[in-house]
Amino acid sequence: MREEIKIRLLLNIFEEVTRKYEELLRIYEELNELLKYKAFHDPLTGLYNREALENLLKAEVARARLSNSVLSVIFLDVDNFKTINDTHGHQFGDEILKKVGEIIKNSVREGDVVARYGGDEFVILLHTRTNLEPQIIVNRIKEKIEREFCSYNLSVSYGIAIAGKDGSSSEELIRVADERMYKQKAEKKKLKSRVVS
Amino acid sequence: MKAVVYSSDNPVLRLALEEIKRKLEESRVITDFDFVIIALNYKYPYEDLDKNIRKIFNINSQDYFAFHATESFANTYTTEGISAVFIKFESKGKVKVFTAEGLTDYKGNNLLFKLVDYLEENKNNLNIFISSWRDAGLGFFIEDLGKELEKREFYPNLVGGVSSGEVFNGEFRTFQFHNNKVIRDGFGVITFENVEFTIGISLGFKPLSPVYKATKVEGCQIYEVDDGKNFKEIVSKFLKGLEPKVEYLWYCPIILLDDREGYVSVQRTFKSINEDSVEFFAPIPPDCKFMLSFGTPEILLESTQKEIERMKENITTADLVFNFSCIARQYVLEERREEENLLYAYHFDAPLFGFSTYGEIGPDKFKKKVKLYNETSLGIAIKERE
Repeated sequence: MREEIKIRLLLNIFEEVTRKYEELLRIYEELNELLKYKAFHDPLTGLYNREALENLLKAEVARARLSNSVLSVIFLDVDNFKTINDTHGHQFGDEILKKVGEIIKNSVREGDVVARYGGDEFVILLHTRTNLEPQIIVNRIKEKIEREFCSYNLSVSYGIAIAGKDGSSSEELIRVADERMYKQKAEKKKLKSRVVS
Repeated sequence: MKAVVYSSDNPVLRLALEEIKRKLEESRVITDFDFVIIALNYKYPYEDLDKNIRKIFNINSQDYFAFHATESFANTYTTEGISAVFIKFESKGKVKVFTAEGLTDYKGNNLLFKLVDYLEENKNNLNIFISSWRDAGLGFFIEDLGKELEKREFYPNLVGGVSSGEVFNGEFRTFQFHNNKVIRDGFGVITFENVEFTIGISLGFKPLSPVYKATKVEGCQIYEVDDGKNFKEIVSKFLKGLEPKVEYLWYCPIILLDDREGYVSVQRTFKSINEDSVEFFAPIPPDCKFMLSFGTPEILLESTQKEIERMKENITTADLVFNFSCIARQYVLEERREEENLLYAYHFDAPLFGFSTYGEIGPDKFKKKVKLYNETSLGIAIKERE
């Protein structure tokens, strides 16, 4: 009699223990997902972070080769962002970065990659059919951002690198796009100083 | 020191005591004695207890300490009558008793400090604490005692058990008796001087679940675990397909983990499943962590065997062994309950005295704190110093 009671009791307890373990497993999986997300996403904008971008870019370069599509790397930077931070405060600066991220994300296709590379720098990986399309898309993004923040006189600079044409490795592509972005920025500064003088 | 333990199942107090006296005389192990400890069932009338003890054993009122126990152990025999241990010192051994009343109102009187002062004076002696049962109040008293001892930075070799009894003739009988006094709401400390001793606490129940956190607690009751889960609903499912008898849950006490160090601290026995809570026989600290466990007679006896081996590292043979074993543990041990007493008596080659308790009092793992245990067997082997 007691043996039957003990077996029944033990089975009932195991049911609860199983439920509890399943609950813990669920919590563990959720935490794991969260950790993974945190490891590869920028906490402010929710976009991919630099580490994720570097991994994704390698894969995208390979994908472009296989699919015969044009992969472009666009480096985009908010001009004079430091001045905005200094004038309006960091909280406001963060809001701008969030909005810029949102505009970029909404301007590309779902499969394209958008990352916050660091500070006020963003990188976009686009798969297109022609070399011209990236230029059209980035101009659209630029216009949208500058229109959104026209009251703050905010502008963006960018540089584009095309896989195959400008380099074959991910490091090379990032470097070329970054250099072109800086070149554009420098030209803008030169132009501005000419206008002022 | 020589000790002998006898018992009687006779339901008449005087006849039971006379039977024990007769056994003592017939055995001739000792012809006289210095002190006697008596465990008696709550059904015996106690009004003439002092007179009967004095008269039958021909001793003074200071030379005995008696208390209620639903069951007591005389060597390997368990009785619902009376058990008595007679002690005769052969060298410098001595016994003295400290008693006090007022457990229920201990926060309003200075009972705790009186006890701590007494224990400090006797910190090198063995102090056996036998108390009345006061629901959650006793648990809080022991917790506060532990805190006070920590403050004063000494551990007083304090072990013991809570008297067991039931409501009888309109009163809840878990009393102590000494020096013609009936202690209804207090305790007695039997202090052994000039003895060597070793203490063992056998828990034994095997943890079998992940850790739960008691998030809504009040006294001895758990309302919610893990932030919002109704613990009553969880525990009620344990009895699915069984009669709703709380005793069945004695096979699976919860195991509390030490709040700071995480080791198995104490077990807590289920007392009742209430409307929206589960009640235990001793307090549950708020936010404590615990696990579900399970025990069988085999597992518990194996644990006691291991504990005895550990105790024997200090003392190999003893003059007397005590076993204060929880009433719920006795239930789980089933028909093998007497084997636990046999293990102690056999390994120490000594007479055994003990009783089924409503809680056991003893040191923590590191002998730094005093704790109220549930479902343990607390063994004490003592030997008079030469």
